[in-house]
Amino acid sequence: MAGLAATLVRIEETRARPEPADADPVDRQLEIIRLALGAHQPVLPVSTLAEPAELVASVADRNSLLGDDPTAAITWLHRAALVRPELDPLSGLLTHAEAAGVGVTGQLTVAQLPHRPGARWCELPFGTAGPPPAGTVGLLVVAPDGFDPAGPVAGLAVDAWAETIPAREHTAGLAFHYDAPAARPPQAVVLAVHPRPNPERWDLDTLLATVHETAELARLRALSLKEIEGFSGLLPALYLPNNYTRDVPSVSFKGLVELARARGLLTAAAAAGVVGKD
Amino acid sequence: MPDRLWNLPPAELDLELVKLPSVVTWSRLEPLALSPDLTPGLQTLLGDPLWLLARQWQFDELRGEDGGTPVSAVVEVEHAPLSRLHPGAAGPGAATTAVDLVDEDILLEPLVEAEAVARAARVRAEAGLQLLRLLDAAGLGRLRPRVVERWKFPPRHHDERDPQGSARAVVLAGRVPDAGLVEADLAPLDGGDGPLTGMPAGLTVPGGGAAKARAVLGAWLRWYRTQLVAPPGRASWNPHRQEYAFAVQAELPSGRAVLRADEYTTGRLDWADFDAVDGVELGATPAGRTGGTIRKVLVPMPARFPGMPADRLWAFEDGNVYLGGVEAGPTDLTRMALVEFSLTFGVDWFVLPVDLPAGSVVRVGSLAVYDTFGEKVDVGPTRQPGGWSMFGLTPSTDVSRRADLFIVPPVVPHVLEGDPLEEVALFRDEMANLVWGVERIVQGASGEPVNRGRLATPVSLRQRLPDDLGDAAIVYRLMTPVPDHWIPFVAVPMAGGRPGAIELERRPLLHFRDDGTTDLPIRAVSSCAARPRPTWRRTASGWQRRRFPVTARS
Repeated sequence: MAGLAATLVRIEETRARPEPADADPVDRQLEIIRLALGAHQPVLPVSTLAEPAELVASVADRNSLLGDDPTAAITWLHRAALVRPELDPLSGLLTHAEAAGVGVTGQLTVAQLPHRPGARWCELPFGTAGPPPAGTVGLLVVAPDGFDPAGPVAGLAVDAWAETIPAREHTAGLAFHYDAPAARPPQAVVLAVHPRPNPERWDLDTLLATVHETAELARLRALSLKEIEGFSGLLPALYLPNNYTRDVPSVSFKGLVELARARGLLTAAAAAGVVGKD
Repeated sequence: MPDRLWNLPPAELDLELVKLPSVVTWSRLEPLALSPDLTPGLQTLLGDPLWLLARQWQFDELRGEDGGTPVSAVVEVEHAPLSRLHPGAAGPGAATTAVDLVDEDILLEPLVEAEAVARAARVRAEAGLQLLRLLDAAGLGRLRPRVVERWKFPPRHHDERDPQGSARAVVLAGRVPDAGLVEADLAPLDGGDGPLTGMPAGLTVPGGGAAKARAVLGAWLRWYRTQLVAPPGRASWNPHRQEYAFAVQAELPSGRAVLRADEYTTGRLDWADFDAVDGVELGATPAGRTGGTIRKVLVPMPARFPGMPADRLWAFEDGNVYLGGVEAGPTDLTRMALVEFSLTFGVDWFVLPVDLPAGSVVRVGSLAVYDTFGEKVDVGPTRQPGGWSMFGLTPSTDVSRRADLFIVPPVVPHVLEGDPLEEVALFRDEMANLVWGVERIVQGASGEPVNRGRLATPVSLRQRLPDDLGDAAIVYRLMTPVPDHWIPFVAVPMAGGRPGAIELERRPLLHFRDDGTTDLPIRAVSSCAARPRPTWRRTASGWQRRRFPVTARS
């Protein structure tokens, strides 16, 4: 009795305690409930479904969901509890209630989303209609006082899991080795220009010669001075004169490099590639 | 100097320039295509169009080959559903012990792994409640007291060796019929698909309605018997080897195919568990379970896999898988073979998608490939007699028809599995040269799982012997105490086995108790053949639930 009196006093104190203006009024109520019933007393929020129409329709379709077998839901629950430890206490509770004479068959509500009129509940054998479409959600609600999804609801989520229904056919791969040509399209487009200023038309020989020349040039492009030893004094003939008296047009590479460096155009990598005398 | 010069006004500049000697120097631009540094090459820098073509030429991308690209393939695949199952290792006389597989939706794992179990009390109680529900629904609620009284659960007291089961028994006793008793009572009256052939002796329906009661009881009996998957005839479990063994047969158009799975332990069947064998017959194929042939014209697509090297120079490769980073020691032959094959020989493979029905044995009859020039090439199986092979159901020396078989086992990818009802761990004790079998979970009298450690009688740390004075200052202990549920197994030569083969023989162990007594449990000696490989192994049984398109079963 002393404990009870002390609890009552603490509840009164909590009720009388001034709260800050921004406090959530629910918090104080929760505190009072837990003072009275214990710190682990769960308190469920009541919520209202935003769009209950589909669930209402599904709940009303009970007979076709269960295939006119009202016991299908409870037998399914007992069997599922064998493999779902989370479901086991609920299954045991219902067994005990039923052993005591309570009719639990009517307390179980099944529903399925999305609702398909006339469809079987996805947890039961599929029958001739075949498996439900992917993403179908089956719900089992234990509600002794009836379940009305249109009204405010509160409850405990006991368990949830996903089931995979395998396909009847599997796509297998048949692999074979075949020595296919390894040639690949060129990475460049040749825009050929006829060598004569006013050609009447292209002929095949000129075209082939152009392509051949391009191929030759492409291979030459990969050459370096070592491979053309003997001609390396002449080739490549990229000679540029420099005469500071300007008797001939002059190109000063040193000046170009300095200019590029001053403007920040010459990156370190590119600068390393510029070798030779100034 | 020149700078000062160029800053002069033009008139003065000309005067100054004529005073200077005119020397023309020549600079030559020398493009360098090669460099001792590997970095630019590895970066595969782009350049002018000729450079792009030159690099392609260097990498053989411009070489013309005398062949075409495969553009079409005609494949003929024969397939047949699994039609016979032999639980257990299949020998010469397997045809008589094999069973038909006639259900279109067979699942192999439950058929192989199912055990004929005494149903747990909870399952019997839940089924008993279902009988009451059916009676209520049929308007026979008045029969309830008689049904409960006739097939009642025996009363039980609290039993600490089965706490959950005995607690439940208190609730069930006198309130719920025991489905096991009901089934035993109704079995002689089984009327097939119809009502019972008669009412059980002594059970009368007050106020009439016996016909209805017989119908309800008959329906309940059928329901009860299909609740669990029953093993087909005999069990596939081989306790001597701690693994499942079974064989299946399919009737292909070109002849029968028998596949054996002799060492199935994982709980997840796949094609690699099977071996195609010769000389074993599982009997005649039931009607409607013969196979057919699929003939399809398909477009081959190049096989691509993550981490595959690109087959041309300027292409981005998948960066998620880096096969070059796979590390392999000198003995990791499989790993090295995988990397080598992927990096070197991965190109020039083509894939054809073939849809196969689950639960069938398949054989590729023929494959004809047509290239861009219309040339036909017949592609045979990749096989090197006497060499080695992969992805086959036969040894590499086998070049017969069986070597081309493949199985798509009827299994499901996702299984709901409950907590184990029984669990035994076997592990090696190298120091004691023993194998220990540790019973972790056993089933109590009601069928509920019980932690075996709770049931063990406490063992004493002191090992008192007869004539023990008990006043010694120093105690030499012969052995550390071993709990009751640790059972020693000793390796012994296998009777009739090949030389070197061993089996494990169960041995008793002396237990010292706190009260000074000892006991030496003499139990029936059981044995199991040792597999040398695993040093630890767990054997467990429990409930499973699988779903298949048409029917759902537990």
